[in-house]
Amino acid sequence: MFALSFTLPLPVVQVPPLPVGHADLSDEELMSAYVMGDSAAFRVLFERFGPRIHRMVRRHVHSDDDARDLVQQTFLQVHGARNDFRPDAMLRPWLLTIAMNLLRERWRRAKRRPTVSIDEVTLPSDDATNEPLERRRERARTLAAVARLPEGQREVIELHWFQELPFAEVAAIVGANEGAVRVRAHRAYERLKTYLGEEASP
Amino acid sequence: MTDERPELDRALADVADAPTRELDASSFTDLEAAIAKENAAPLASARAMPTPTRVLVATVLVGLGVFGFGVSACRHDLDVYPASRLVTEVLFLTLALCGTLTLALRPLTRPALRSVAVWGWILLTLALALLVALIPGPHAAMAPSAAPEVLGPVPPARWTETLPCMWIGLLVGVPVYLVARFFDRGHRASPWLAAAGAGLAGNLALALHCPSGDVAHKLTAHASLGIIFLLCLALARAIEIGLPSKSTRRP
Repeated sequence: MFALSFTLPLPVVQVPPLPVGHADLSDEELMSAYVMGDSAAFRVLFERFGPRIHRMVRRHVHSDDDARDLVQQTFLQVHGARNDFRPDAMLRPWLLTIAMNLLRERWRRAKRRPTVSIDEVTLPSDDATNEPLERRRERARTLAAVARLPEGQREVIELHWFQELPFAEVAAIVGANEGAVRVRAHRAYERLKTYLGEEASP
Repeated sequence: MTDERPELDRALADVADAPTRELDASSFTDLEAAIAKENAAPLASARAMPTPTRVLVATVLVGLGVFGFGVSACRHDLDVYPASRLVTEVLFLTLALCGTLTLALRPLTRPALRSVAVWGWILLTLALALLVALIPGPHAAMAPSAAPEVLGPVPPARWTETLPCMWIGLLVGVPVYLVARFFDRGHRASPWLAAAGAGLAGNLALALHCPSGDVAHKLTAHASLGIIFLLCLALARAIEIGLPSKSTRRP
C-alpha cells in the first residue's frame, strides 16, 4: 500500500512580508525602531501616515502626481532626519511640520511660476468618482476660496479644521505662538465666509 | 467646528469628505527606491547626522578652511595693527558666520523661518561686512602718532590690488558654500544662507590676510563678496527656473 500524494503547484505571489508585531507599537516606538535600523517599522509608519498626508496635500495641489510626490518627499525627509528624532517627542507634529514645510515651498514655487490659475483648482475627487457635477463644483468653489487665503491662514485652516489639531499643536507646527494662530484662524474663517459669500451672490 | 458658521463648516466638511484616489502599492516601492538613491548619494551619511553634530562638523570644516588660510597667509602688518580691532572684526564676522551656518542647516522638522527673518539675517550679514569695510583702516588714522615710518599714508585703491583680494575671497567662499550645501537637507532658504555665509567667510579670510586700510578697496574687494555670491545664486536660479517660461504664463 502506498499513498499517492499530489502537491499542487501554488501560484507564487510577490507580497512583501507584513511586519509582525509592529501593529501594536505607537508611532514614536515605530520611529525609534526605524532609527535603530528596523526598516519594516518605516513601512508601517508609511501605511499609517501616508494616506493622511496624501489627503492633506491633495487638497492644495493640482494633481495626484504632485500629491504623491509630496508624500514621497515628506517620507524621504523623515528618513533623512531620522537621527534628529527624539524618542520623547511626538511623531505626528514632527511629520506634519515636514509636510507643511514642503507644501509651503510648493505654494511659493507655484506663486513664482503660476502655470495654473486658481480657477482651475481641481478636485481630488474629479477623476475618482462619478459624483454629481453640482457637488463637485461646490467643492471646487470651497477649495478655490481656501487657495485664495494668505499662506499663513491657509496652513492654519488645514491643520486646525481638516487635521483637527488643537491650536497648541498647530502653533508648534507653524512656528508661531498659540494666540497668533487663534487670530489667524479667526481671520481665515471670516475671509472664507466672505469669499464664499461673494461667489454665491450673482 | 463651531455653531457660528454652519454653512462654512458644511462646505469645508464636504471638501474633507471628498473621495480621493488612495496611494497605490507602488508608492512605498518608489519611496524605497528614492531612499536607496539618497543613501547612495555622496555625503548622505553626513546629511543624516543629528542636526547639532551636522552643524558642528560643518562649522569646524569651514573654520579650518578660513582660519587655515588666514594663518598661512597672515597680514604682514600684525605688529602695528591694533590687536583689539582685529579681534573685534574677526569675532563679529565669526559669530555671524556661525549663525548663518546654523540657519542654513536648519532641519525641515522644525517650522520654516519666515522669509522676513531669513532676508533680515542676510541683510544683517551684508551690513556687517559693509560696516567693517567702512571704518577706515588704522593706518591712516593712527599713522601720524603711532608709527608713520612703518605705516605711511593709505595708498589709493587700485584694481591691481582689488582683484587679487576679490579672488581670494571668492576662492575661500566657494568651498564654504559647498560645505553648507553638502550638509543641508534641502531647506528652501539654505542656498541663500549658504551664499551669505560664503560672503562672510571671504570677508573673514581677508580680514586676516589683507593689510589694506583703504575704504574704497575694502568696499569693492571685501564687502562686495556677499553680494557677488547672492547675485550668482540668483542668476543660477533664474536660469534654472527658465526665463523663456515667462512667455507661456497665463495672463
